[in-house]
Amino acid sequence: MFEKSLTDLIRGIRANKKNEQKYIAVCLQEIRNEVKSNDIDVKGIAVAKLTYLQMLGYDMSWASFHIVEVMSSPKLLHKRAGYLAAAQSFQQDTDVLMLTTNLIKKDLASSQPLEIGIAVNGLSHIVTPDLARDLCQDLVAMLNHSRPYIRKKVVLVLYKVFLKFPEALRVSFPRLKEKLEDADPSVVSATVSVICELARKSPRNYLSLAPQLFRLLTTSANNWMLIKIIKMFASLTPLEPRLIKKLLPPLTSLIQTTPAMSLLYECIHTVITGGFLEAAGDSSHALAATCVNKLRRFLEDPDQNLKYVGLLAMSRLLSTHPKLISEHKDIILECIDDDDFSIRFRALDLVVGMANKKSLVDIVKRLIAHLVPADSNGASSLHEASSVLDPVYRTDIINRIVFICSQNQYRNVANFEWYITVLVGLAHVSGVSVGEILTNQLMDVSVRVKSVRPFAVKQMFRLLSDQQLLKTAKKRDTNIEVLSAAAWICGEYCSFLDNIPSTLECLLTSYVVDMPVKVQAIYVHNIIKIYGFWVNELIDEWNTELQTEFVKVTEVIKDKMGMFTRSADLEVQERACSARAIFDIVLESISQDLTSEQAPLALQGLPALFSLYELNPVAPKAQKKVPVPEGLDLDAWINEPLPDLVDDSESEIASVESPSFDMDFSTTTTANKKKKKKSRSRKYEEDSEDEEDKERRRAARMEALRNDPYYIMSDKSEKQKQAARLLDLEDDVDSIPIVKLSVDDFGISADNGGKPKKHSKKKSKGKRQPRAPSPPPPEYAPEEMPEDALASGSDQEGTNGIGNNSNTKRRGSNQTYGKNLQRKDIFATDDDGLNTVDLSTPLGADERLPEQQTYLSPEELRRREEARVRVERRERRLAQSASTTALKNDGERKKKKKKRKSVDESAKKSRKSTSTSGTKDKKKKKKKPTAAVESESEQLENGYTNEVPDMPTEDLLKDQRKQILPKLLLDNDQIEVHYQLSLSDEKDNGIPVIEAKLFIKNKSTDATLTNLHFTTIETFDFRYVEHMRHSTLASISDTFELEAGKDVEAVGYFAITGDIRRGLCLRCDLQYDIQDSSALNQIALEMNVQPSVFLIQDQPMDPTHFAALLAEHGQEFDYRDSVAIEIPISTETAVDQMLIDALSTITSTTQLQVVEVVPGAASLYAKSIQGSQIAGLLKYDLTSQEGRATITIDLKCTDDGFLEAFVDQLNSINV
Amino acid sequence: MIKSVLIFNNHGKPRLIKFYQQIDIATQQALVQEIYSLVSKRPDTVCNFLEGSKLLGGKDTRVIYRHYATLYFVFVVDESESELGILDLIQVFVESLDRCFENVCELDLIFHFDEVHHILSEIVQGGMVLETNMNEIVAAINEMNKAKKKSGAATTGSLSVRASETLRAGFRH
Repeated sequence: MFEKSLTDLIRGIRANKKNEQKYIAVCLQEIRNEVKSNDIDVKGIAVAKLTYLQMLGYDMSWASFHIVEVMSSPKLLHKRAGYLAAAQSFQQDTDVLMLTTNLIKKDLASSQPLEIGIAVNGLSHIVTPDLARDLCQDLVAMLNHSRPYIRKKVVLVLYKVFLKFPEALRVSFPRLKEKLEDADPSVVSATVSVICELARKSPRNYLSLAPQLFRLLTTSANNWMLIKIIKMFASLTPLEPRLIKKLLPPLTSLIQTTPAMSLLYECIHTVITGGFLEAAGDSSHALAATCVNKLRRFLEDPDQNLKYVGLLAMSRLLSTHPKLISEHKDIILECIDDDDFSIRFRALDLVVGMANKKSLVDIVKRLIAHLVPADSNGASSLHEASSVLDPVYRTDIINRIVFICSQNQYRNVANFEWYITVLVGLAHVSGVSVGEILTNQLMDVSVRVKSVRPFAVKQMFRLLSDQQLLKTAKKRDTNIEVLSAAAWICGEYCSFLDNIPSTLECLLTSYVVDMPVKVQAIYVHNIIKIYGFWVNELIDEWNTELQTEFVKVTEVIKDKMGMFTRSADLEVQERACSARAIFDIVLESISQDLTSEQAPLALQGLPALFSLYELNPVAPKAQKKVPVPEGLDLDAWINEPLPDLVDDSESEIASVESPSFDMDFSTTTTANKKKKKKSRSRKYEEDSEDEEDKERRRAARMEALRNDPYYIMSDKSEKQKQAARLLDLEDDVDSIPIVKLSVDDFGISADNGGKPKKHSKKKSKGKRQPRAPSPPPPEYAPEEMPEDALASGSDQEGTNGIGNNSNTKRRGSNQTYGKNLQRKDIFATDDDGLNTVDLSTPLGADERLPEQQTYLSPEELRRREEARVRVERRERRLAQSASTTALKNDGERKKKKKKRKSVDESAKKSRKSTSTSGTKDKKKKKKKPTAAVESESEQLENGYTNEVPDMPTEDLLKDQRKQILPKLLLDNDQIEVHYQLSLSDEKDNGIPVIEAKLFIKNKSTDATLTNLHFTTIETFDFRYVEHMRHSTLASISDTFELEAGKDVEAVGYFAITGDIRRGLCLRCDLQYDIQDSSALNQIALEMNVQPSVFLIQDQPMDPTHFAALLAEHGQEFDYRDSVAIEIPISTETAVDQMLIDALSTITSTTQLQVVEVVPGAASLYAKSIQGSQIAGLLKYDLTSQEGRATITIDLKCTDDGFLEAFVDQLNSINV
Repeated sequence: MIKSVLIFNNHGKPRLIKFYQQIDIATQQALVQEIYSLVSKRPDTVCNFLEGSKLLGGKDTRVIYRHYATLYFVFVVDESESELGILDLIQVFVESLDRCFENVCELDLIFHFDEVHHILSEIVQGGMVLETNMNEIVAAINEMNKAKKKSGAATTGSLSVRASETLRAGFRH
């Protein structure tokens, strides 16, 4: 047979480019046969070929088993191919991984370093929690391998092991730490890598390593490692600020001297992000300047990569040292036009923060140039078309433009006409849907800036009449929403309109029905607004001629309004219908008086509907100025805060949402004002649900929070978070029924709602000082303040207004490059386990790596065997000496107990009597036991020396385990019933079953009991199982007839349907007739079901298993309790014998297994059929009371009820 | 941590796929295609860093690559790695390949993909950097080659060695 080699395969694939798949399919079929071959060479090559095909996307998971076979090949090449195949194709759930434990163990122990290397590298890919647990001990031992080649590999693989088996970290960390001092630099570097990776998860654990790392930082020349160390220090300094001082000299010298750009960059980055500049004190500015100058060299470098990281670092520095950055504006602006998008975005980040009044126009121009398509403007061909058309990029640019201009309440905009032009221009060229943000900006600017209104209205009219824009209504990237701003501005400031009829015409074109309904609604409303204004103008020059013209126009408008009344949208429809009704009234009133020279009265009322008051923005400080009404306690909770309010996890989400909040804020100020104005002329009570009111309440809540002693609102970002958090809960909180607070309560009294505000007063406050620069200073609309505002609100406090500095800044930065906080990606590692490992506490003596069960070296096995034999021998010896009489057989035990009791009593009595009479006897008598006790306790205190009474050996205990005597259930004149409960071997549909044996005896000497039968009662806990029958015994469902003196044994099976708890019992009724007697005998019986019944006795627990179980699943043993049992120490029996008896009684009644016996203590364990586990530690205390020993048993259990029942049973034990 | 190391040619044909996390094969292929589409449209004049796309795990994941002749060498890393450091590391990787193959070209990588894996494993293990010193790397590879010759002399394993030699000879002309 001629198998293809790997080379043949590759060559074949290359030769069959046309029908590659077909060729590969044939090859795969060959491989399928080859992997089954007995020849390991054929198999090995087949697996190697498969691995190649896997790279091309062909599944090889079916070959897992063959891969393991090849991995175990003694030939190095095959072994390598096998491990590679495993690394490439195995998943966590690959089942053959279980088979690899021993294989890898063997390879790790190989004499060939190369084999070890292959195995370690392979393991780093395929490690599972099981492998990690089983191999960690070997790996830790290999940290001291003689070859550095192995050491460095082992160090790295340990990190992977920790990920899968976090318990190993704590135990092996001291060993890992030692590797920082390794003689080989590669090993040190690998160790640093692992520690860095660990420290990212929980830096606090690794603070103690700072001195060693610092030494490496100052002595090593390995740049890669230095970078890692510096990165790690960046995460340590927040925890230990004193480190900064120590680190500053070496870092500064590195910055100044290193030729390696990567290292230089990392130093600068750490200086910037690690809080070094803040801590450097006087030299801070110089240091920052050094950094920035070095960074400038990055930007000037032709290497784009250096540019990129340079910009990245600069943006980090921007918030703290904006001045230093803007010194390099020239070069940063160059980067905006870089061909490379990554660089462009980084530069944009910087530019946004650098913009000021002077540079704004220039920057915006550069940004807009990015949006203009190349073909329409020949000059801007420097941007390839693909990038210009990328909608994400365009949206980003537009958002940045808007952000740059609007930040700090438009502080940087000197010429608002220019800004309006920019916005209108954006609406045309954007090519992406950014209508919403443009709409908001247009409205906001027109409302705030009085002087720009005439210009804005003109521009808006042009927008309304722009046919091109109208035609885009159905397109995906339309900006048609802008028209809602256009319509609104034209309507609100219609006094600036040149031509009202043509404006109305624009608003009523047939294209309008294609627009979004939101826009349509605004159209309808503003049509009537403009119409009202127009009427007002006409009233003065009213005449008959005008009237006929007016009627004509009105009829046309009314007619066209019809298209809106047919709208499917209720809002549009309703508004249109109201509008038509108004037109009807107008027309009717005119028709009544056709020849009048005076306008009808109905017309004169029309303008008042819309334009009684001017709309003004709310001053940022307005809320602050509102005096707190008397009797209103802002600190008191209206409702207790929801728990989420202080939940930190919320803040992350909230801060992401915050930008939308901010954006909304700016729109609501303008949009709501409209409503407010309207409603104010009517009645205040109506707008209690007004948005603005909500806004106020929200602000009030924030105020309350700020004053709350339990809230720390230290900085603004925190405030921001709080605000966002509150917003998050807004719906909830607002839906809580609270006392309605109308605006009046806040000090804006209703009586002054009737007259316009006096705005000029506020202007003089200087919040909006007129700007100096050359273009005519824009005239701002006065900002509204509550009438009785506090006269002297300090200005520096007022930074939490609408558009305050930090708020806007955050808004912008979040909005434009808001980051998705969800970290659920395919590369995410599951490292939760590692994060919880605490390395700060010293290792306990009992902490060690899990014992390996799978594979033991011969020496280890021998050693263990010897130890075991030694222990056994000692136990046997002790047992022999201690108990020749004890535990002979079970039948005697009862008697013995009684006997002992009586002995005790008599001893007590005698003691009592002696204490009253002569003291001589007392001394004599007491001497012996106390001496024994004393020696006993001494030994205990001396750390359990060897001669302490030992526990009985397990063999002895095993013998008694199963034997539980039947208990008495019923004893009367005629009948005596005993019962014995045990766990049945069989199950009923998977439910464990209890076997109840009843021993029924007719006590009477003459009467025969007839018709004797049991009726089982089904409870929540037990169900009688009828179909199970004992082979030899009668069933308890049978009916018996018992002659005098006879007895019978019956058995019944009960499925356990309930949980184990205290006081469980099986219930049944016993009925029988006595011959020749008419008495009806019916007796209710209850059989107590002790928890011990449920314990499984299948196999003894060995101590190592037990330790492993507690180590791994310790946290499952949630419930703890402790029982103390007192045993009287009689003079007759030796103390150790008493203890042995006590222990055997305890174990035989509770069915607990003795896991391990050590001097003075014993560990106990049991598992119930339901899976509950109980572990106990039994200890003696001989010192507490004279003449008595106390046995305490500390119990841990996985189940609450089970433990309770168990404790109950233990307490009832009578030793 | 390094999440993945990829080599593919200008047409997106994979020459080496190494993921340091266990990812099923379909996803692996999808990721390679995604990264190829991201990287291949970038001219050589632009910077070698990319922020990961959504499929790649977003902003925290970075794609750092270098383009040599017909091949792209791509490292996918998380935020804990130094970008410039990784660029240097790619250089180390490529130079190691060059020293091991003597004037490495794409064909070398095609026909010795297992060798390439092995060389990579001497530089990066389990997503962490094992060795950056080129002499150490090459020494480890040489040791392996020696051992291979010893053990592989009697087996069909030598086939691949022979094949590579003929190929190399043909390639030189």
